[in-house]
Amino acid sequence: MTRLDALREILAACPDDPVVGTCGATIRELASLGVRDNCLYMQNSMGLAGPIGLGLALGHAAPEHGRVVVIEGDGGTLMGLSQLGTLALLRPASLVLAVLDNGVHASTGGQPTAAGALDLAAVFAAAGCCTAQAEDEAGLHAALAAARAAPGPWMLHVRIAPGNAPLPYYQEDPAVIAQRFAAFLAR
Amino acid sequence: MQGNAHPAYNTSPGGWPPTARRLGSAEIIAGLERLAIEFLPFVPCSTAADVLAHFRAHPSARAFPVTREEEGVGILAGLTLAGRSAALMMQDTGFGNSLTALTTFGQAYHVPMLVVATRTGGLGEINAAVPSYSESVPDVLHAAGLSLFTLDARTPLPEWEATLVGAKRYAETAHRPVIVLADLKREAPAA
Repeated sequence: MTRLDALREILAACPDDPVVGTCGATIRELASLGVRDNCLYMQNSMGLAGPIGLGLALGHAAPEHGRVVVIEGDGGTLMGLSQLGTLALLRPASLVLAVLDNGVHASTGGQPTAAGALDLAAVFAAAGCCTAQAEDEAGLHAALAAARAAPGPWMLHVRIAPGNAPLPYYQEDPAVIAQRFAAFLAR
Repeated sequence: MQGNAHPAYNTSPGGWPPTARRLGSAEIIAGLERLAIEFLPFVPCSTAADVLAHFRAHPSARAFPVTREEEGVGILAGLTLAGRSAALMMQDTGFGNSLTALTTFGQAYHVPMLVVATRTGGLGEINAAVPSYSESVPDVLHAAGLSLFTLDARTPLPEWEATLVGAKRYAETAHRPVIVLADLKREAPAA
């Protein structure tokens, strides 16, 4: 499963949920599937997608079974790991963290991350998260359905192939992205 | 603060006379309450202990610890985008950790969020390791283009609450993060 395959599955499963997409190739691929009001495309701030999603999950009055979805990589997850204690403390039920794990920093040339040296799902399980694993589209589809059916927080550990789709930089004005996203939240 | 003395004047050991720290803390409490703060993520600071104790016991505000300052900026940004009234409390030493989050997200995405940072370094500092960094914090923030206002023992007390409330309003007007630097180190009697 490529990152683009995984993103297609997530967007299809969460058409009306706030989605935070991490920086680099992830938002380029996310935006290539159509720029959406419910997506917050992060152009920088690696490691911050998780905390932003945590704040959204605390503050957004999601409808019943509504979710706040964070799409993060393995490198970004490790960079933002300080959120783990806060996540364990607050445990917002609507939060779904989808970690697309390719074992490398694909956006910067494929340098290895340390994610293979630890069990990321076990780390988040130890913090009180429900977890699910996925290695293909059918597995991801099932994991997203599980995360919709039962309260979280959820951590979905999604194995994807290294590499990026050849796409141009996504350079929309961040202020416009945020304003559109905030308007979506305020609907 | 308006009206009778705020309970925070008497919540710390020692009672009267009020110290500059206690007076400033009461004004910060009054300002955050006037903003109807619902969420107060914080990285702790000894000089902000009265403020944090007040909001930890608050009936309607949710004060909770975060592990690092940049994480606090991210959580604050999420809460603010969701339309909630929130502020982050931290020490100014934490700007080293959080400058990228404040600039590449808060500033670039025009998130009108309020950060209240207690001052370290300068008069009253007891830690030998922080002065060189802490004294440069305002210059660092200015160089990064961040908006900030400062409060210290020389600031007339009525200005404290007004500055906090005004800072949040300014964040919304100017569509950007705003930082209030509050120096609560002085424990000497205010009078």
